[in-house]
Amino acid sequence: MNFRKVRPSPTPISNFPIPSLEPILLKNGQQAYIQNSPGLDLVRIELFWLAGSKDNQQPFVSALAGEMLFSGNPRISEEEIIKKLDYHGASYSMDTGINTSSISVRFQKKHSGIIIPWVLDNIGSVTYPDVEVENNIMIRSAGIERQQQTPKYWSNRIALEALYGTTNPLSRFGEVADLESINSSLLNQFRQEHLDPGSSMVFFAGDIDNQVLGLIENHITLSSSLPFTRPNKISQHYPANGNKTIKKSLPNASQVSLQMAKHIVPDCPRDKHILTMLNLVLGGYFGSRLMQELREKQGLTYGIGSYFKSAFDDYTWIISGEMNGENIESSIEAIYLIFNNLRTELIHIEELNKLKQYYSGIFRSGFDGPFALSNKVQSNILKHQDHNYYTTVLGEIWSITSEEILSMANRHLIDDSFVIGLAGNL
Amino acid sequence: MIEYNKLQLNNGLRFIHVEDTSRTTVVLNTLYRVGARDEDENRTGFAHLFEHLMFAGSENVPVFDKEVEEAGGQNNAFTNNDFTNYYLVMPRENIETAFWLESDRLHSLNINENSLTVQQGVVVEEFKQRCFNAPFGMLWHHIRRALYEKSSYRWPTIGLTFEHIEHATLSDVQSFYNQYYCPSNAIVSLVGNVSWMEAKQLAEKWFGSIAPRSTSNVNTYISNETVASSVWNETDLSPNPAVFIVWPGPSVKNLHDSLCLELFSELLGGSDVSPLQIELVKKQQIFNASECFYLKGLDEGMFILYGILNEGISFEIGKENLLKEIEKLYSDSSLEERLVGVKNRIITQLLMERTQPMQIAQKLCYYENIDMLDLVNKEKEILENISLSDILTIAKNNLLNDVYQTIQYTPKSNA
Repeated sequence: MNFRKVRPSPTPISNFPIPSLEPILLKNGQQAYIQNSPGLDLVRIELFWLAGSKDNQQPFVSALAGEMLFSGNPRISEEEIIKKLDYHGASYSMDTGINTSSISVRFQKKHSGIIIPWVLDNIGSVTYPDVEVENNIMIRSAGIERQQQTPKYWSNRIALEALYGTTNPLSRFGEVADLESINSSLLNQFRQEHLDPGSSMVFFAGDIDNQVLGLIENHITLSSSLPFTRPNKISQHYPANGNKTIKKSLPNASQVSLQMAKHIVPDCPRDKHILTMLNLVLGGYFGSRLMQELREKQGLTYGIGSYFKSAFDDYTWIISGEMNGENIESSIEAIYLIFNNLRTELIHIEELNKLKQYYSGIFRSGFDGPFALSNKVQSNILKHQDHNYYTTVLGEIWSITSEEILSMANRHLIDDSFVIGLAGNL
Repeated sequence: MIEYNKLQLNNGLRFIHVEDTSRTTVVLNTLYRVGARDEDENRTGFAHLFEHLMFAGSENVPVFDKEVEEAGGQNNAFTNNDFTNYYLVMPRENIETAFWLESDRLHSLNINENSLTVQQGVVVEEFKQRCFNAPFGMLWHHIRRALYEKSSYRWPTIGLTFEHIEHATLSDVQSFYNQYYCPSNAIVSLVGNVSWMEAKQLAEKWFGSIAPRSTSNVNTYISNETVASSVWNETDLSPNPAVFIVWPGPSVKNLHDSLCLELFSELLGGSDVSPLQIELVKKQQIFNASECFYLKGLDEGMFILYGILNEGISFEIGKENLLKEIEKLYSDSSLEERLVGVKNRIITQLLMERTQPMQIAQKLCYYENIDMLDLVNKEKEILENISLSDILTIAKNNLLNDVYQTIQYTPKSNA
């Protein structure tokens, strides 16, 4: 027999020793976590704050305050700060979300003695000089104007604004005029209240030894220490009745971008796993119903999928795709048919096992590598989950039944509970 | 140091292995030595269309993705002008599934009218999404058309027009497969917790049993064209006008010169402290974005310099200032110090890459494709040995005034 005809039997993804970060308290009482990989020659340090766009009503203030942590003060310019980082081959990135902000700096270990003090001292003394604020606003405004050329930006925006209103952090987009009204004192205020190095959690990854730890402890600012508290639910504006379709015409566009959105707050961790599996089968991976029907069977779109945009416990479930305007109606009909099928028919055991295997594979691969754990631990801390939570996940995944997925579909995959945003050549 | 093993199978396929015991996942990467430059000028976009068809199933694998997902893995692919690259990320325990899947579509791809028709629709929508619905979406069409008159580098991977994709026939697809998807045209790498002995056995079992087929890459490339400088006025989706200046450059096989141009581009516009950003964006506010980079190619590369103009700034002023920054760089006394920074930044990136099996797997295939596999362990040394004087000499020799193309974009708003 031709050996190629014999499919190698896939082995179910097994449990595995979950690596863990080493929690430590710095001398000043700050919480820190270490994922140590001796000999790597690289260090990554991340300061993580429980503050984001929910903490300021004005669009872009939290994002700019985070992005401009290296913008300097009257004694030292942004250019000087970045040049020194650049000279030593350090790279950095800032991220501001709805609930959290962070700055991550990566560098060769041999430069620790220079980079660590430089980063901490300059974050601690930033004053957002006017000239840098103006420059950053100019650059960011141009970026927003470019984004606004795309149908996808608009379908996402009109759908989320219809779902949550325009002031909720879950749907706050902002205009160039909002940016232009930001000044140095607004940014300083936000930083002082929310982004002090002394009130951050610190995550170390890479080749971490006592020298690196000592450098951090000696330079981190002690000026404030905001208590670490679990954030409250932030979504205040639930859709009155999600049955809305909002359109925006973009005459030069060659396609129409479709986004459907609804708000969900899962009741418990198991619900999250069931929802994740329901999302996978709907549009969360290549083998999903949406991809198979609209792309692989009908060839109507390059990509259609679904995902959760999460903000702590608030999930926005989004279905997104681009296609020819003439195919929009039939595509929405096909989506509703898939909803109906998921509400009325149990997922076959073969598909269920494929989902579990795929989900397990993704979950496990998320622990690979010397920098993988930080994000997971951040989310774990945010959700006040036990450190051993991850050891239970594969067991949870494999115990989920088709009935639970069907029941979840009946709770959430209701046609008119999604708002629909359409933008493009309508 | 990346300790790799290499094997050439009897059918010509090249297999490279790196053992990494620290991970639960394994990467199987396959590079086919076929890209957009191998296409007929009336059938452009074909290599990329074919990449889509490679997921349509094979003789023993009716639905490719289903098998990947059932094994707990993920996969994807990309095509560029020089090659097509497929990868599978698989849990260690299911590595044989990856070999089965990847080898079966090389052994006997299932090409049929239905999958062709469906993927033509998908790729046409991809063309519209990428080229018509994104700012500067037609950029690669314009740059390549400006830079080349005869070379098959003159069209982008997505194709000149989507009509070319719509007109592809089953017979075109079959002959493309026969010509390019043969073992001697494939390079496979495996990175993960698999011993060399096991990897070799798997490679020989699954890939070694495929019969050799026709020789590949019969195209004769037209390279080193001399195209006179021109100014091209184009319209594309954008809120602001923009100026792009493009020079042809040496092949990536000319390692020294292409690396010098890459470093020159880093010095000029590769970071937040480069002159393009500091001088032209922040201080003079001529542009709201300005960068440059060297795009490596198997037969030719290109040096691209651009700026997106602020309101009220003319094309002429923008272009003049971009060119002036190049001239200023030649006599910048701080350049030696800045080169240290650029090299340090690249070394940090190289160290980061070493932590990512996917990057290692793709790099192994890439270097083997240019017959320079040992470079994977010499990148740092080569980088450290390049001097500022080398960089400036190569830049002056290549960034000549009479061979660049200027593309001026007038905005077309979608709003």
